[in-house]
Amino acid sequence: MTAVRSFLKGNGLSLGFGALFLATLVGQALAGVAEFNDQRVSEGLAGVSLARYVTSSSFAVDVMENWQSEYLQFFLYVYATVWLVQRGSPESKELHRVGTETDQEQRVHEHSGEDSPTWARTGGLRTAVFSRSLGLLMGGIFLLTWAGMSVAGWSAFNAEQLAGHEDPVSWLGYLAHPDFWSRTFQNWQSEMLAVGSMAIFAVYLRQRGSPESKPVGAAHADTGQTG
Amino acid sequence: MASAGSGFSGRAALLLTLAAGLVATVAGCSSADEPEVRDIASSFASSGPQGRCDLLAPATLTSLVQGGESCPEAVQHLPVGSGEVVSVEVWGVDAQVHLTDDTLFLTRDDTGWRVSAAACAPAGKGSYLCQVEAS
Repeated sequence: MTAVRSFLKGNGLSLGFGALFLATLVGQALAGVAEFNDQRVSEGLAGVSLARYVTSSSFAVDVMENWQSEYLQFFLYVYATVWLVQRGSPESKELHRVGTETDQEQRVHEHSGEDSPTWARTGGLRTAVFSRSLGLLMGGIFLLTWAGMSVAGWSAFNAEQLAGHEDPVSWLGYLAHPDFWSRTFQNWQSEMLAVGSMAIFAVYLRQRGSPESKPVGAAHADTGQTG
Repeated sequence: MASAGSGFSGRAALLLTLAAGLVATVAGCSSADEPEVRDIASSFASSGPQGRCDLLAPATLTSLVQGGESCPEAVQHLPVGSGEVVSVEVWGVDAQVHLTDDTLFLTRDDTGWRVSAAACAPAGKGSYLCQVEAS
């Protein structure tokens, strides 16, 4: 097997979803500019080019509102699954392991192995940070993209205000406007539904070969198994 | 969900860069267009009827001549402002310009910025009623 094929096989999940992300982003841009121009023509305004649309706040807010909710989902899921369990779900750990677990179970400090990351072995602040790094990163990206959504949404909202011959609003005014919270909650609710339903569906249903599922023959009551 | 890939940091950095770029684009484009919007609004306010008609957006011009009058005839009978530019707001391809005696709305098309509405009076709750606008 060549080095390239080996690399592709070893990184198929990242590369596959990266390609799907780019393809669907292009699809969103093409459909979005058509919808945007339909709306503008109906208001007696000129349409815009694809290049101008993809650098517009309208496109940016539509992208950002989805990104922020996805990272909120992962952030909450990473943190919630430390403390909340679901009997029989491969998305959950076993019921008696609720909490941050012992150093031995987590293989930190003197319980770390030779293959453990350096920051898991050193102790102190570095181990404390590394022990929470996944949640911190997800939470950080969520906050950044949510802030990005608020700025892009503010700009898109004000463009709509001007197109409708109304005064623009301040950023704080936009944060208090239903448009901001409608965009926020409509995305959050779908993420919570997806996570909650996945956790419970995976108790009783199987997908052979997927690590998101239990082995097909595993009992419904088995918790924390993947296969 | 349980299986976040090992290449996550690189992808996260890419996403963050894209996010920052989008926000910077949003913020940057508006301010870059402000001088042109100010110039067009100022020209519109100081021009005669024909000069104003030349600066109207096509849909607004079409709406104005629907009654059978020519554009210059229609414009000179309407209370379109001729004062100084007080403030400019640009958001995307739309803009609002307050004159000392009127409020204008502008829109950008392939040829540049054009006036889409004029002779606009406040109608409460931040909205305006405009006597020159696309129907």
